[in-house]
Amino acid sequence: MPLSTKRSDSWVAFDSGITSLSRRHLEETIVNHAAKIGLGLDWVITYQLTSGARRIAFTISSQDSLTLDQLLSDLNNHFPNFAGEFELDELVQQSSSKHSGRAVVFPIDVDITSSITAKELIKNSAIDAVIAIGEVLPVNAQIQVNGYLRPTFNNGKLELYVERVAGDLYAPIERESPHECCGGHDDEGPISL
Amino acid sequence: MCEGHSHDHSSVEEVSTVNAWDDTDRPVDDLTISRRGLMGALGVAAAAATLAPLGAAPAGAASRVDARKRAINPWKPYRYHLSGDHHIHTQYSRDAMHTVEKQVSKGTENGLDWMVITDHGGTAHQKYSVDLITQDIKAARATHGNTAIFQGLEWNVPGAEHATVILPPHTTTPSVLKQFELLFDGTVLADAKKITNANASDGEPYAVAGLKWLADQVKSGAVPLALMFANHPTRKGLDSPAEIRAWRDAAPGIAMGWEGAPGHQAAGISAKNGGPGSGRGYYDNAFDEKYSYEGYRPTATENPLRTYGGFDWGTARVGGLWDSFLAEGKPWWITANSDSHQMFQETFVGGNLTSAGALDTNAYNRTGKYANAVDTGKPNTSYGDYWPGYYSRTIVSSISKSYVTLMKAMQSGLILTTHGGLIDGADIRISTSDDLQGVTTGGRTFVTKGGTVTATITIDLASRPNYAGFVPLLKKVDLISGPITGPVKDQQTMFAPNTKVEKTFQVSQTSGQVVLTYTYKNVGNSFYLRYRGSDGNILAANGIDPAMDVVGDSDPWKDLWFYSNPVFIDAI
Repeated sequence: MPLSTKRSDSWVAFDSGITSLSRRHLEETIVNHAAKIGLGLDWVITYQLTSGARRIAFTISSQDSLTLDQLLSDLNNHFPNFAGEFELDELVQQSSSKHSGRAVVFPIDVDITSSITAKELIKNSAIDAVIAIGEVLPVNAQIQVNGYLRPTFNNGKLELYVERVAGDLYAPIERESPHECCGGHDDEGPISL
Repeated sequence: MCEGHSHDHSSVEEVSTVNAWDDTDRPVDDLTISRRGLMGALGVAAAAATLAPLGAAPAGAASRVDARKRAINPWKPYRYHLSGDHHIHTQYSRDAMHTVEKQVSKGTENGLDWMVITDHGGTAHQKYSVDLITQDIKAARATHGNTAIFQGLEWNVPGAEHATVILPPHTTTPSVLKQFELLFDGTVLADAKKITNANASDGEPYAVAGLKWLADQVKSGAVPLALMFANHPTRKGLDSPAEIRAWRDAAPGIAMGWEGAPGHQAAGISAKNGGPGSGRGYYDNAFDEKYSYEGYRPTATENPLRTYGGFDWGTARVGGLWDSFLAEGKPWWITANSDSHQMFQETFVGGNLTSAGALDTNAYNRTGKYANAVDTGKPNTSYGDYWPGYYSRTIVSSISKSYVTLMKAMQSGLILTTHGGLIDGADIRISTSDDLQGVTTGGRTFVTKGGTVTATITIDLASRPNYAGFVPLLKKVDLISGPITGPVKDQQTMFAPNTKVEKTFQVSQTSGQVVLTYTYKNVGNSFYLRYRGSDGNILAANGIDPAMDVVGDSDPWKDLWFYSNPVFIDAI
């Protein structure tokens, strides 16, 4: 079954189907392959599909439509069982309106290798707000980013949820390498297309 | 525990004004249905206990007895209070390393009366480990005669998280476990290409089928009893409310509850204090669009993928997921366990390591076992677990110490959970104007509408230092209650908005026994209640609830809680 996709002028959405790859490794597969074929990515957003089995869908926006076609073609070749026709039209619309979804790639022009203040982050990226769960974020709070950001859209705003990790230091609630458990939930890692 | 003490005895009495819950629209029959469900769930033994007060009536006279007047788990002054742990890993798990004997000795040394060995399911485990564990457990039973050592499994629930499966000693136990694992373990199924992977949704039907299969083994007499408790339920947001309800309803009497508190309680200790600096319970994950249930997506006010006061969000949140199950009037019990793999600051490493120092899973996969752990003499700062009994306890109140009776007590909800030795124990007695004897946790009693319900908890305060070296002080106890509204139509229901903290008792006494009493007057509708208590050190902004644990900086000894299981009260 071919890769299921939907397109608008500036977005393409596709359903990752039921695959053994984890979310993290799916993302790495896509982003790594885009870099390999020279595809500039403006946005990569993930969504949860809830029709039928739980699974993840991606929307991508790029100025380079030809190379984007190549990415989709390569994905299709490698994941012939990517399947699903559900909700993709809606996802294309949601990407355009920034209604929901989780940003893997988004416009940002600031060093995020270590820590940064919320103010700097908002000023230099597409992130609209930094929100501390269950509390008010202190004005000068440092966000321990460590090179990894996955903000989420909420009604048109791109928001980064953070949590306190020590004193006035905060960190995004999504970490690049959370604790890995256990006896049998591993996948094979990102794949090379 | 609380039998017949009189020393240092103080009592607090509170009386509510009026019971304001309103479920007058609900047909009376709903209650009957709920009770029938519970009866079925609790099995033959509990049913017999339930009917005991009515025993004077001959069988043929049942129609003359008001069937709504049932008391399940009648309160008794004397039971054995047996501390245990149903989540323990050994060298037969591919991410653990100690022998069965070592784990059992440490648990026994820490005061446990019972333990369940629950190595991870998997192809190598199914093929090689189960028979080896059987022999090791037999040997441990011979060495530790006063300790009940159950053989179990940490089941990779297909399409979901993990769960403890417990079986009593029986000639068929190993073969039943192996067959169950072969047919229904998520990892085994994924390896056999029957499902995409252990977490993928295409495994969900296997989970329900597996529980029904276990129920069939009990019905057929292949094993005397089997129990399942879901482990670390909201750690990754994998166990949706509908899946949990499906397990519960597919196998009443088998699928009985979940870990109210996960293990790995040392995982949140900061690096500067010699810990792994992860999330308490290793709850440091993010919502995952691929597997997490949408309802667990973090919001600006809470994160279901974190622990709160060391307890799983599903249990810790008042009016949350656990309460949504209890509001249905159906059993769902909580436990607290160690999930011990590799212990905080211990000096041992695995017996088979890669050149990078990690456990060599290839070695495990070939044999289903690691060589015995090796003492390096150097404390390891990356381990986040405690030995069985060191921090977490599941205290089961049983009328005997036999394996099956102990399991039946667990099945019946006669369970209290504590952390860090916050209390020695508690006796809960809920009596009514119609049922003066009353019932205890996991139980069900009745009251004529307009009558009174008296809730009493007698707490034995901590009498000895815990393993951090101090005697914990209980500072407050919350009595939580909410209406029983019957089975939900939407199986994904995850909140019970009318459940609330009815009363917070402040505790100033520092030793001995505390008796806290609260009376519900003019009771109009069926409801349930439960207790929790805390050292009061770390609370949410409202000063009542547990706070979200800080990833990378949570000292579990500074934030101690106990939680009871519920009691249901039918207003008739």
